[in-house]
Amino acid sequence: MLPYIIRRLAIGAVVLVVASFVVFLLVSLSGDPLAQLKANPHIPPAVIAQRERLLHLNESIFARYWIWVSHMFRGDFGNSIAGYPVGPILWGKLGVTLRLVVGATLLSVMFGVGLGVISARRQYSVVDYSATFASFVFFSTPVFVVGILLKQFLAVRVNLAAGKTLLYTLGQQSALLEPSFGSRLLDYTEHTILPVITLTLVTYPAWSRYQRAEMLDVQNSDYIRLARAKGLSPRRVLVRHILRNALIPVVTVIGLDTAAIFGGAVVTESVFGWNAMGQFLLTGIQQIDVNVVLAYLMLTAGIVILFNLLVDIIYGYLDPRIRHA
Amino acid sequence: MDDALFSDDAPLLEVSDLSVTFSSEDGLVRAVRGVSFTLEPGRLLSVVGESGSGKSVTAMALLGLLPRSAQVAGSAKFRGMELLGRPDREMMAVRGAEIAMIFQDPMTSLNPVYSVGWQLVEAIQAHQEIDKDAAWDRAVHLLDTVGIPEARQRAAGYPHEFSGGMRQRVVIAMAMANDPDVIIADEPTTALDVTVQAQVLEALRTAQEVTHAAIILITHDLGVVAGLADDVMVMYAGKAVERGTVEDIFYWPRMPYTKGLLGSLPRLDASGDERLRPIPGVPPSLANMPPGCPFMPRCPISRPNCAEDEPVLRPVVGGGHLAACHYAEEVSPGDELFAPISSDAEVVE
Amino acid sequence: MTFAIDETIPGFNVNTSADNEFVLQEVLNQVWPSAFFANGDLKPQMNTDLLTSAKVTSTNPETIVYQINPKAVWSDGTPINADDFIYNWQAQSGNSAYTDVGGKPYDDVSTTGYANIKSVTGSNNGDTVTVVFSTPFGDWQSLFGNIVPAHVAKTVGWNTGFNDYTKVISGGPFVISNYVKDQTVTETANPKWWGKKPVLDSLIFRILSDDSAGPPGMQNKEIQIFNPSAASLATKQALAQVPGITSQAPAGLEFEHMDFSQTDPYLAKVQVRQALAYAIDRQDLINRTVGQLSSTIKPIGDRMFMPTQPQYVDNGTAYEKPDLAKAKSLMQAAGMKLGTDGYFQPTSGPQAGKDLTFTLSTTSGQALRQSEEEVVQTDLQKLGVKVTIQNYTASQLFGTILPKGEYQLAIWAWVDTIFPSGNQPLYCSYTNSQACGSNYDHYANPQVDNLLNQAVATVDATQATNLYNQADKILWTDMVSLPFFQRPSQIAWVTNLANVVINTSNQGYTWNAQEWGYKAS
Repeated sequence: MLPYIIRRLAIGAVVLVVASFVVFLLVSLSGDPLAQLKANPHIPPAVIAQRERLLHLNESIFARYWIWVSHMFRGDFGNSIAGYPVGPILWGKLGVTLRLVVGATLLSVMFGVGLGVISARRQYSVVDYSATFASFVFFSTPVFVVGILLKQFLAVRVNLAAGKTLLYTLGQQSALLEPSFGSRLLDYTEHTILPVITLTLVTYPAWSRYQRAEMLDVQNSDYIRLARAKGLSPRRVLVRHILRNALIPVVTVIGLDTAAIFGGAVVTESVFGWNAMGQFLLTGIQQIDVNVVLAYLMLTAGIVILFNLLVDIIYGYLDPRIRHA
Repeated sequence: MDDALFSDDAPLLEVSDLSVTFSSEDGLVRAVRGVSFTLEPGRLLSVVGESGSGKSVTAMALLGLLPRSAQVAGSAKFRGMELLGRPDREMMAVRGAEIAMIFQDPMTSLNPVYSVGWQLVEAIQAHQEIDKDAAWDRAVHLLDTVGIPEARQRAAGYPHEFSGGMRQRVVIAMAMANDPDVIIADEPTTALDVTVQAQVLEALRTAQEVTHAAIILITHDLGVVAGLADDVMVMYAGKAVERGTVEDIFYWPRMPYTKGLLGSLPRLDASGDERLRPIPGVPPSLANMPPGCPFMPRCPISRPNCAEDEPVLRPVVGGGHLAACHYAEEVSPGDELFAPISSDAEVVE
Repeated sequence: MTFAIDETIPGFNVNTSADNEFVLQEVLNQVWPSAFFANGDLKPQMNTDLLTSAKVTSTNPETIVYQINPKAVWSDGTPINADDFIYNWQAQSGNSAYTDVGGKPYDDVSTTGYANIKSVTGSNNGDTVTVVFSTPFGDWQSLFGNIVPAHVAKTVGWNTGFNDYTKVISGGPFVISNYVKDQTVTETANPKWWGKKPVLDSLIFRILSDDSAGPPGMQNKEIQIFNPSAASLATKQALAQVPGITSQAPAGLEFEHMDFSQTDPYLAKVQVRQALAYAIDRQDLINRTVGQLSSTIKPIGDRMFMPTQPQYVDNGTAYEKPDLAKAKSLMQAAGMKLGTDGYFQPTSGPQAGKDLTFTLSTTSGQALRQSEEEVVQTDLQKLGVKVTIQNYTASQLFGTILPKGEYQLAIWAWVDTIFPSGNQPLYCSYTNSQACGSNYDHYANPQVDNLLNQAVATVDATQATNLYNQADKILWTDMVSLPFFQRPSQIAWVTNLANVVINTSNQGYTWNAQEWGYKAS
């Protein structure tokens, strides 16, 4: 197992290096990060020249990449265009984004697997048809539309009915926070509910369809018939045989969807005015801030690579037919 | 299981007028149309017929394993207790404990994610209050009984590490696990290589010896039947069309269909020029069946009234031999009803 | 009271190129003191809390005397005095003799005006500041805005010292009491404030990342005033659904225009530029674009002052209506022959004998500008000139294409301030590449240079306005660029918030936030 993990991580590292170089080129060649300054007739040329030196814009693109790589090896993500170290900002924002991503992933697993199981157990029932309909509606609705609709139709009404603000539509926290842990947690939760629901609604449908299809597949298999013929209880057949087997491919899909969830989080954060990883990436792209974009890439790609590895390892435990040597 | 439900006087398994209907897009499919038989303790009843004749559906109906959409009617009594319509949680106690089942395809019958030992232990613990270690020992013993070498090591193995024949032995061991009174084996050798078929049948025979269970052996292969069965029931288009002892059926079949099945069987004792005599045509669709004898379009001795009156299963020549043919008495052991296959013959529908 | 802004804040020294963002000015209006600010009438107004007077005492050499209110103190108790004026001048003088902490050069977004100062001296215990110019500067009221505290800046540094909000001490009615990076800035009443007490207890600025979050946020009562970064019909419609708010789209000081690169041999001819200008129906162009947002927007007749400013004069009356006949005769006068296919063909130059074709460029991905391009394309086709469209990302357009003059026709916007001297680098002769680097069109007219030089140096506002408008008249005659329209800005606030006064200058809407308050209901 260990050699396998090491080999996979080595491949991951190569992927990161290649991806970072390609993205570095794409971002660097997409324009001049100081263009806006240069367009402002009032800014003295000396200031621009100084900024260019700070950003090494006077050096070749390969030299700049090398500077980035050598910093990266020391765990330093470099500075943003405005001159701030990217690393600490990135970690702070990751913490905020994880609130959304972890929450939405857990909810999506619950909804996706739960609804998939119920739909499959009650195939062609009203529940099944309703779940199928809802899945397709959410599946085909863009994230930002879901977000805006939830704000208009859920937040405003809930808050009106409650007579106070329970669901916030803007930002990841209030401007003024009491320092106590409890009030912080409550404030974070009130700000996180809508974004998590939004991201969940666009994430769970695919999983629930997948879970349903896998359940139906397994449910009709010979070994389930034998399990029933052995005299096992329906509950044991469902949990230990049908669910256990149907979950194997679903786990893979969920693991591979990490990248998609981070992508969905970028849009969700933007809709709800969260200034976390999503805003970090979007402003990085807008401002042609190569260190910022690469920091985002390194982090999310690293997470995706780790998750895929994790999924493969879990897969090995879930399915004895797969063995990693 | 509440013993009061059983009656010692009652037959082991008594099936009467069992019918199973499915709804499909083409209308109602009458998969089983009034099958009756009785199974005596320790006997081996072989149910024979082409695929789609209703054999497997009959077996599944007995254990209540058919999908909810199936409409089951008639009666099936195990030691006097009605099995049909019994709720799932009560059937749990019958399945595997009183009536065990072996399925056709050993490659897919075992759950791929659990070791074979685990699955055997699960079967044992489903019906016996026994701790895990003891159950495991019993599982190993069962595997040993059905002829799995180095059973203790192999018990920890997963199904994909076993060959098809070995897997079917595992399934047979599982069927034996709770000393059932009835073992239903649904085409247990069909999916296997010819070379291992005999070994699996041997394991089945061992199972019967150990458990003293009565066996229902479902097969389309009369060759398998000859050496093993006590009684034979031939099914066609959802109905039993002939029933009798294995001698009755093999020496003097009374239903032209049975005769056809025997004619399509290669015989080791035949002289060189004797060729196979297959039954022409195909079985009828079970949806929207026309009236009359369902075998009539393929029958060499049919008469016009066969198109209107469906013959009932009736005794012929006394004894227990029953056949469903208006002209059963005209079928004699010596006559060949079907034309032999010719070496250069074209296949004509 | 929560004010929604939609750009992140890098640091808090709005005078540096790293931090200079419009929204930061809105955040800091009530914190950093300014000698003058732009009021709702778009005129400079003296900050009477900070100064008791500011007078021009001499025009040769230009000398300004500021009297600082003796009560004026920073929120840490240090008096605001001449030292602060001296430091802010030095930091923005562009003079390399002055350096930031660690000997680093000062990062300035502009040295305009400060570079003209010869000396700043304090007297009367630091309450009197005398500023003497080496070269006259008419827009002197633009100077000493967003004064940072010298005693703090000298320790923590001008360039990055104020990235830490706790170093941002206040000389205004509010002080920054909390900052959650990229989320919220909270300002509460400055306990050391010597002026009239502000009505509101606190101002919270919430940083949105997308304009579309604004209207639901208002509906959900999470924000009370919302100033989207770009006015849009979608935002207008969304705001119309929110009850209890006032929403407006006032014309801003940013104006769209089409420029002609005079490095092109055909566009170098004034008749061709005039012909193109006569062919474009600007009212129609407005109706098809920003007319949907605001019905009051009209074609612009002045490059130096916008129609919403008091100094505005319509210098472009000749181009008020399109005149296709005149445009065609101008084309012929420029040596173009009308071909049988209805397109003009040059008789000489690179396109001789071919249908005259110009490339029109702007920033890609902007629906408004694409609509403008389509109208221009259609109108010029009617004249007999083909237009192909080639758009670039903003960074390509402003970073490369415009500075290098690699375009023929281009549409973009200039952002005016209430101080017209900012127009000089746009129109003075390009041959002076150091001072006139923004003259991308490569236009040169000594008469304009002369008028602008005079205007910039004229201290008398009426006289200066006159000079700027004279220069603009020549720009119209030479048809250097064709101004289209003022881009509307957008603002919405809850109706029971009183005293919100439209201010479309770069001062921003919070210019009088100390007077805001809720109406008794």
